[in-house]
Amino acid sequence: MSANETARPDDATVAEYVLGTLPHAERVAFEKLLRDDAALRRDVADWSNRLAPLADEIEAIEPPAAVLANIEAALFEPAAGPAPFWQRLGVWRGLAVASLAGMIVFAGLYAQTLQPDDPATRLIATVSGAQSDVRLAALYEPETRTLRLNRRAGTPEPDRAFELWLIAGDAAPVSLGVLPQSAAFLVDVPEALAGRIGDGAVLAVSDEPGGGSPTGQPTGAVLATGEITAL
Amino acid sequence: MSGTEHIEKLIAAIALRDRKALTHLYALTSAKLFGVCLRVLKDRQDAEDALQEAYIKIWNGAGRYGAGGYSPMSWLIAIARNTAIDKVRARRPDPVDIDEAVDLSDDAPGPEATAIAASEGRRIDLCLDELDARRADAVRAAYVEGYSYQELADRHAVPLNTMRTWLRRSLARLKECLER
Repeated sequence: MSANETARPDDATVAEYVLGTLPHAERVAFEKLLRDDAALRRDVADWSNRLAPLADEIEAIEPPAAVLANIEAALFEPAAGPAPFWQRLGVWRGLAVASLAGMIVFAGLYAQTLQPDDPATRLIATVSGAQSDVRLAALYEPETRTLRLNRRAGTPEPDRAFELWLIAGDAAPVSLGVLPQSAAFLVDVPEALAGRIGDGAVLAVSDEPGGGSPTGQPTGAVLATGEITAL
Repeated sequence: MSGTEHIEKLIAAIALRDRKALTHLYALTSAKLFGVCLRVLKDRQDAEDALQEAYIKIWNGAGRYGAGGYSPMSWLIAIARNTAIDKVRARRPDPVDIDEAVDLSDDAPGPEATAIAASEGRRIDLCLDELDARRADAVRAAYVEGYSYQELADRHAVPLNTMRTWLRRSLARLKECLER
């Protein structure tokens, strides 16, 4: 069916996509087509409208109050005021010798660019693991190379640290820094790594000695992972 | 329906980056969308994560809503369902490659219907009633529970490709009935 994959999906395939039964590989291929095909998006909307009455039978259930707080934190919190410079892991690691004054100017510039105005190519990930309670929500803004993170649960053992990794394709994990104590924080992604953050790349959190991995690769247990997907 | 118009206005306000509109939309719709996520994911924490992602997508995608052709609740539900289904498929990916061509003479494409009003909820029931009861059940279960073909095939004790052929034919007939 490979010759068919580039052809326009037939109507039953659109319906399968909307219903959710389209098998994973075909679903991924379909979503790729969807990005550049307004008529296909319209067909998806028509099927969504057609099937939506099936949701009438689904019972509404009040979500816990924390969810709204998390949404607002993920979307708005960093914009409300610049995070302390020591929370900016990339800055901290890259510019450890720069002056404090320089840092503050830098933070000020970021505060202006963090307004979520341009939805163009944002990426999102939920990082979690079955064996641990570590949970992060991540939102990446390519324009500013800023990764906004919101830690929802999980704290390291004494003298241990959580380290964040980017895993793209078959390449070895690349450290994005040690997670600070705070719940919401930003990572300034170095330019050299920005190209690797894309659909399908993975964020992971590992358990490391206090200052982070001594080897540049994860040395402890990988506690949580999450795939990066386009919004 | 004024509820629909109200939600549409809130989505438009969100597109203009109105944070209060997001809070308001959340108050009106989050219980429904949480219910949708929970039915698919069957795990509260996963459903909370999906709900959070869904509203972030709603905030970021509101600017594209107007051109999309969705009725407002359909759009919100589609975002929540897609987020939940992506998660559930990542958790248990389709175990079998079912890439073999599906033997099916497809229905002729007709002119697209415009957005279906909420009052047509009864109509979908009437149209599902025209299908074989087991197939109608498979369509409902796929939508509400987010089952994969493998899960549906197991539930109905039929081969996976048979289930896929059933569902594709049922969806074509459903559309034909709804547009009649």
